[in-house]
Amino acid sequence: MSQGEEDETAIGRVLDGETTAFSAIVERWQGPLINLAYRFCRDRGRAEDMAQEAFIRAFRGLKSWRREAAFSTWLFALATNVYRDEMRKFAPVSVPMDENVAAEGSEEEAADEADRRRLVHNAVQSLPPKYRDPVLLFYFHDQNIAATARSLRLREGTVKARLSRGRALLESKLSSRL
Amino acid sequence: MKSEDIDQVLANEREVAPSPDFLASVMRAVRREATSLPPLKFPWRRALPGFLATFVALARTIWDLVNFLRDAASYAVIKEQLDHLAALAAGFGLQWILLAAVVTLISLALSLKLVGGRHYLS
Repeated sequence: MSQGEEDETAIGRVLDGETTAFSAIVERWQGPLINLAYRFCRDRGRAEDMAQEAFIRAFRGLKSWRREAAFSTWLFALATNVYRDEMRKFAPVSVPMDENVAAEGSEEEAADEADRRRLVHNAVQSLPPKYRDPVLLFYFHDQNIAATARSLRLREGTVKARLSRGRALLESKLSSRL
Repeated sequence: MKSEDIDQVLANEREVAPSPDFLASVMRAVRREATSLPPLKFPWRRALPGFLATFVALARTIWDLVNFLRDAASYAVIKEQLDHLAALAAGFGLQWILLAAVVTLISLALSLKLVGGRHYLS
């Protein structure tokens, strides 16, 4: 039985009133949903809270899943929506990238791989949400534009344009680093 | 930092493993959700007579008002009373009351816009 069919079977049971069958869904998708949440908030505990909220919303809205799209597509779009809302609710006061990087330390430190990662992630977090979200989703979906567009419920052309602009902003923020 | 370096960092994100009790925690929340009572529906059937009565009363009031205003004598009486009210209002400094109301509305709208949070997003 394929993963999609297993999802469908479990959802059918949940919709018939067997709540415990939802655990199969959580078990299968907890990793991807927590990892996606982590890309948004960069905090493990908060990522789990956000993923839990996404699962609860999925449970509530299972009836609205139209079976013409894969369950995973529906689930990622729902989770993305939840995460964006959560980030909007508790948005940090935006820190200009230059200040952020200046606080990171010396050039030697910046040469370190961990610091390089931190620089890039800080730069992504400092992007406006309009560009941040396509960048996060694009790399989460293994650089698949179509999957990114489905998760964001946007047209592929729009995603490509925002991604291009987002990457250009990232490059300009990071061009003088390392 | 070059574009390829950025790609390399973002494409090789470290994986976060769910904590051992995550599944149990979600299922507890899901069971709570399943056993909680659904939100109360609006009692349309019970409210319908009230809505109908309100609609009839409103229609009747508008009908009476239109008929009343069609009559020239009634119109003259209303105009006289409105003039009297305007004179009274001028005595109370109506223009200042209106100015205060406008200033209050502007400051309220400005406060709501400022706490709306949009300025944090970009």
